[in-house]
Amino acid sequence: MNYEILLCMRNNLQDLTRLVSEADQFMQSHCLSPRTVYCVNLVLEEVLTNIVKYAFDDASAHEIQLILTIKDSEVIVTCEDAGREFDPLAIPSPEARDSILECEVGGLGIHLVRKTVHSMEYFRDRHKNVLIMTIKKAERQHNSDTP
Amino acid sequence: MDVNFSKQGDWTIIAVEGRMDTVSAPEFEKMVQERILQGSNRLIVDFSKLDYISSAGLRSILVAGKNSKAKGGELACCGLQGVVKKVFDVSGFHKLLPIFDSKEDVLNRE
Repeated sequence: MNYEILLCMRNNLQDLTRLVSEADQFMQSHCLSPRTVYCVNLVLEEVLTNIVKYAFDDASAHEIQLILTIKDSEVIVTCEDAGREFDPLAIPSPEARDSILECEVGGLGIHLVRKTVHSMEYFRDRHKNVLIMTIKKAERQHNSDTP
Repeated sequence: MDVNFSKQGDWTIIAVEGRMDTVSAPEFEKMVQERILQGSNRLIVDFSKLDYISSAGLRSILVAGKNSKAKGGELACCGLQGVVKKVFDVSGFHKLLPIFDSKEDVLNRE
């Protein structure tokens, strides 16, 4: 059986905190493992922070819509915003550095999302960015390279 | 997020607890920068009670590491576990910062 919730927020950090907390409660109520909850939380925070900080050029409030679907073996996150076109799949991975002084401070969020999700799809639909990410449910014992 | 500062020799130990995210990380970065400006540039961040870290948290650690190094100091990490440790690893931070099991391991290094 699938369980689904629609969550909406405006493009500010207070709403982001509320939405992540509501998503967390939804996942807890469906008994997802702490590792799965962490991974979905991380993906939500990274993607939504990017939208809040960079998607809109004006100071007006804009709605961002999120659908969280819990399936038997995976969680699907679908995110829609009407901000400027942004395809996270087109962003190159940050260059690996050996020295802390050479290392760039930005660009980590999308890298973490890519490493956390099983698959990721982006398309532009009627002036909206649509991002669909699949996170495999993790058991309590988990040994892969993903978080 | 709770942040607790303590001193041991010339090391400043920073114990973090809870969530290090987009909202809490900038405040953490500010608090650590104040300590560095006051002359505390040898830092140990103890992650053993941290439940969650995102890229914003990693960024604040990186900035603190850069700032302490620029003042002739260093930043060491300890107590990493579970998914927090995985996030460190997939971000390549284990190659950028010295990582120890416990703060005693850092202090006993000398």
